[in-house]
Amino acid sequence: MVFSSLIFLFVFLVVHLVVYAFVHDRYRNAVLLVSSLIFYSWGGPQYLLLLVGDTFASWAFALLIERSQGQAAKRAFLVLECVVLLGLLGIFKYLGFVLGNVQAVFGAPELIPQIVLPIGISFYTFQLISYVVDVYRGQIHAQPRFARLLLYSSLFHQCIAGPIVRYETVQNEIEHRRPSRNDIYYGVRRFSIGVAKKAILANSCASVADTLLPIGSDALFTQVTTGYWLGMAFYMLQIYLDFSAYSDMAIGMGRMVGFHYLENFNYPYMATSIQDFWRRWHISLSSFFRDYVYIPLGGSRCSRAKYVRNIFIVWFLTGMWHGASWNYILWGLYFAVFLLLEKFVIRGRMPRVAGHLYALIVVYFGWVLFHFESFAEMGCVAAGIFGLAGGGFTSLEVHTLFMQNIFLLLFCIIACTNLGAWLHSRLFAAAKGNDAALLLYSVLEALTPVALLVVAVIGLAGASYNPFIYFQF
Amino acid sequence: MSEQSQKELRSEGGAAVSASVADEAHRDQGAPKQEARVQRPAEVPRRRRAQRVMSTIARWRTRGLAAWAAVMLVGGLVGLLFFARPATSAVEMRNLTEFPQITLQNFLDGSFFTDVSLWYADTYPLREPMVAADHGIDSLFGVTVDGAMVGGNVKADEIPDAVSDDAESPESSVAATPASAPDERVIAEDIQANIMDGIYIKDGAGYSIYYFDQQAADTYIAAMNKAAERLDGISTVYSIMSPANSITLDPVDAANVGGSDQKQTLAYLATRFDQRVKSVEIVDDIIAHRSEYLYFYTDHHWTQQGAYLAYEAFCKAKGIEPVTLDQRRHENFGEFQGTYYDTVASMGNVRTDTVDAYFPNGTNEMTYWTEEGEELVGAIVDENAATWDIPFKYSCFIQGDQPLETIHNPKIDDGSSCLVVKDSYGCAFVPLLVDSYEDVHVIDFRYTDQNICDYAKKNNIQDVIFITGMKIGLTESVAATLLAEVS
Repeated sequence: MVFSSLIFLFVFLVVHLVVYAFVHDRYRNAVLLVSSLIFYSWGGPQYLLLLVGDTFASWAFALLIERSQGQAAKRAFLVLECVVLLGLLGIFKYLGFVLGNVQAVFGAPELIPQIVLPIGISFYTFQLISYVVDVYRGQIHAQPRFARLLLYSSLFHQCIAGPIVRYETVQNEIEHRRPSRNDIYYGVRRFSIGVAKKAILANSCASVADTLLPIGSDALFTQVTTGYWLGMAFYMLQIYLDFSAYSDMAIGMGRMVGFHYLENFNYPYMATSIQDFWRRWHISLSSFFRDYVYIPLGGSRCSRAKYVRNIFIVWFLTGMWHGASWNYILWGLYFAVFLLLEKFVIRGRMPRVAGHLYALIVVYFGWVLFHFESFAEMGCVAAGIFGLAGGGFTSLEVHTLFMQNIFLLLFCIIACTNLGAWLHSRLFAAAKGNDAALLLYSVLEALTPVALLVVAVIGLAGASYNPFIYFQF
Repeated sequence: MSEQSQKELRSEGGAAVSASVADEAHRDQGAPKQEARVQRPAEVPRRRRAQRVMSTIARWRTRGLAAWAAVMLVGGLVGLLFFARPATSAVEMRNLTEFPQITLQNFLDGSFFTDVSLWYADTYPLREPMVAADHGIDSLFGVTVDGAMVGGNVKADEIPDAVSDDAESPESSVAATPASAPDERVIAEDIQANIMDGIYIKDGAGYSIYYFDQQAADTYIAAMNKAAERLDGISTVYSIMSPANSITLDPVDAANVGGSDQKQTLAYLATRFDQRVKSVEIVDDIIAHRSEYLYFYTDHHWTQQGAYLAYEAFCKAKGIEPVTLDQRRHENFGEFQGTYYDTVASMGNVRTDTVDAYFPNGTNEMTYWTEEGEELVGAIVDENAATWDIPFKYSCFIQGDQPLETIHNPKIDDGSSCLVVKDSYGCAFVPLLVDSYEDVHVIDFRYTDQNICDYAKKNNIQDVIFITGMKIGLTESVAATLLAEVS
C-alpha cells in the first residue's frame, strides 16, 4: 500500500487512527503492530516471512550479544547477524544483477533467476543491522520482547520508504509515549504537507518528466535539447519532492502517535557543496553509512590513500544501495569524485553563490546517471543536454509543456527552499505583537492541514483519471 | 503546557515557530513564583499577551484538527457507500475497475491487494467531481498558449518517392500475412496512442498531425491488393482515406507543426496499389474546401459535410450521380465534445462543435449485429442523438461502430450492392451511400473476425469500399487486421 492512495487515507489510516485513539494505552502497541503487519502484507503477504525472519534473527543475535561475556563471542554473533541479513538482502536484491554480470563475462550461468524485490527490504535490513551493531557497541540495550522489535522493524510509518530510523531514536517511545495535542497537530500538519506534496507537486512533475523522457521508448532518442533540459529539471524536482514527501508523511504519522523520528531532508537543493548536499539529502542513509561503514574504516583520520579508499567504498555502497544496476553505482562513485575534489582541490574556497550553482549542476547531472539504467538512454540524454540531440534544439511540444507548467515549475522550485518555513516564522513573530497577524496566523494554522488534505485527495482522485477515448464499453 | 510537550515543541523539525512557541511557553511557565517576585510592571502585559497568543493558536489548531478529522471520517464513510460506487464512467468512456477475484496466487504475491486499491480509487463515489476539480488545479500550473502542441515527438519514416520504380514492392516488404488479427484491445490502444500523439491546438480547435509509418502503409497496400486479387471479377475494390484534420491547416501552420505530408502519403499508396484497386482521391477537394466545417474542432473525425466530399468523389470514381446534401433532410443534434476536447480546453477557449446529420431518403432503418452477436434493428441516423450525452453524439450515425450492419433501400430495385469496410470515419459516410444502392452492407473490421472477401462473395457484393482515417488505417496493428481479414 502506498501512502498516497485513497484506500490508505480513507480506509487504512482512518480505521487505524480511530482504533488507536479509542483503545486502552496498553493495547496501543498491539494496534500499531497489527496495523503495520496488515500494511506490509498489502504488498504481498509472502514477503512478510522475510521481514519477520530478519527481525527474529536480529532479536536473537542482539540478545545473544548482550548476554555473551567474551568479546569474541559478541563479535561472532555480530558477524552472523550481518551474514544473515546482508545475505538475504544480497539474494533478493543483488543476485540477479551479479549473475547477469557473471553471465556477460563468462557466458554462464545460462539461466538467471528472476527474483522479485521484497518491499522495503533495503530499509528494514539497515534498521535491524544498526540495531544489532548498537547493541554490540553497548550504546543500547537489546529488546527482550520480540514483538517490540518487530514493531520497530515493521512500523508502517517508515518500513517501506524510510527514513531509516535508529532503534536508539525510538527505544523509549516504543515503551512509553504520550503525544500532546501539539504533537498530534504537528503530526497531522506534517502528514498533510507530505501527502499534498506527493499528490500534487511530485506527481505533476513526474508527469511532465515522463512525457519528455519516456524511458524504454524510441521517443526518448528523438527528443530535442530543450526537452532533455526541461525533462531532467522536472525529474530533479520530482525525486526530491516525492522522496521528501514520503519522509514528511512518515515523520507526521509517527508524531501523531508520539514518535519523534529524525529529519531525513534539510533543503538539499540549497546546498553549497556536494558534501553539504549529502548532509541534507536522505540524512538517515548517509548517517548510516557514516556511522557503520565510513568511521569503522577509519574515516578521515588516516592516510590520504586510505581516506580515498574509504570514500570510494562508502560511495560505491551508497550507489549500490539505491538499486542493483551499474548506473546507481556510477552515480555513487560520481559523488565520490566530487567529494574528493572538494576535499583536496576546492577546499572550501568557492564563493557561496558559485557553490550553490556548482552543487546544483553536479546534482542535476547526477540525476541523469541515476534516472537511466540503460547506458544507451543515459548517453543519449547526456549528449542531448549538450546539444547533440537527435530531434534538434527545441520543439513546439517542449514550448507548450513549459508554458503549461511554468507556475508549477516555479512553485516546485520554491517548495525546495526554506521560504515557506521562513514566512511561517515571520508571521508567527508578527502574531506575537499584532492581533490581525495573530488571527491570520491562527486561521492559517487551522486551515493548512485540512486544505492540504482536501487538495491531496483531489489530486489522488485525478491520478485515477484514465480516459479511453477510443475504446467502447 | 507540560514539560514534555515543551520538549516536543522544541524538537519539531526545522520550524523556528515551534521553538518560539516553546520559548514562549517556557517563559510562561518557568519558575513563575520567582519571576513574580522580580517582575517589573512592564512584563505583566507582555506575559498576558504571550498567554493570549498561545491560547489563541492552540484553540485554532484544535479546530484545524477537528476539521481534518472530519474530512478523513467523511472520506472514509463515503468510501463505504458501496451502492453509490459507479461501474462505468461516461466521461472516460470506459468500464471502471471491477473488484478482483481472489486466488491463492494473487493473494500471496500481493496483486489482489493492488487491484483492490485500484478498484477503491477507481469507483470512489465522489471521484468524478474530484477529477473535475483536479483538472481545475492543473489549469493553474501554467499559462495557455495558442499554437500549442501536445505530443508529437514521433519519428516519422521517410515517404518513398511515389513514382520511383526501384522501391521495394509492398508485398515483399510486408512480412508473411499474419495468421490472425491482433487482439482487439491492442488495436484500440494503438489507435488511441496514435490519434492522441501529435495534436496541434490553435484558435480553439485541435488538429491531429500525421506521421508516416512505412510498415503500416505497406501492410495497408498489401491488404488492398490482396482484396482486389481475391475479388477479381466479382467485386470492384475502392479505397478511401480520410486525411487527418491537420490537412485543413493553413500552409504556414502546417509547415511549423511537422509531421508527414499526407498528400504525398496518399500518392504513395495510389502508385503502389494494384491497378484493380480504385483509389478515391479526396485530398484536393478537402484542401479546396478547407475553410468549411469539414472536421470537428474537438474531435479527430470529420463532419458529415467532410464525409460528403468523399461520397461525391466516390460517385465520380464509380460514374454515378451523387444525391446532394440539399436533396436530403437534415437535423442538428446540438453540441458535441470530441476526443480532443480536454486537450483543447486545457489550452484555453474551445470552439463549439455541433453534429449536423443528413438522413437517407430511401430508408432510415437498418439491421445490425452487436459484438455479442445480438441482432437488432435501429436507425441509420438516430434522431434520439439530440438527447444523448455530449461526448457520444458522433454515434448518431449507423449506431456507432458495430461489427456488421445491413441496409435495404426499398426505393431502389436494381440489385446494386456494396460492402463498406470501415473504421469510425465510415460512420458519417454510410448514410450518404444508402440512396445510391439497393443493399448496403457495413463491416467494422476492427470488431469482427469475419473474412471480408468471403462475405463479399457470399452476398454477391458489387463494390467493396474500404474507408478509414489515415491515422487509424495506417496504424500497424489496424492494417495488419485488415490484411488478415481479406486474406
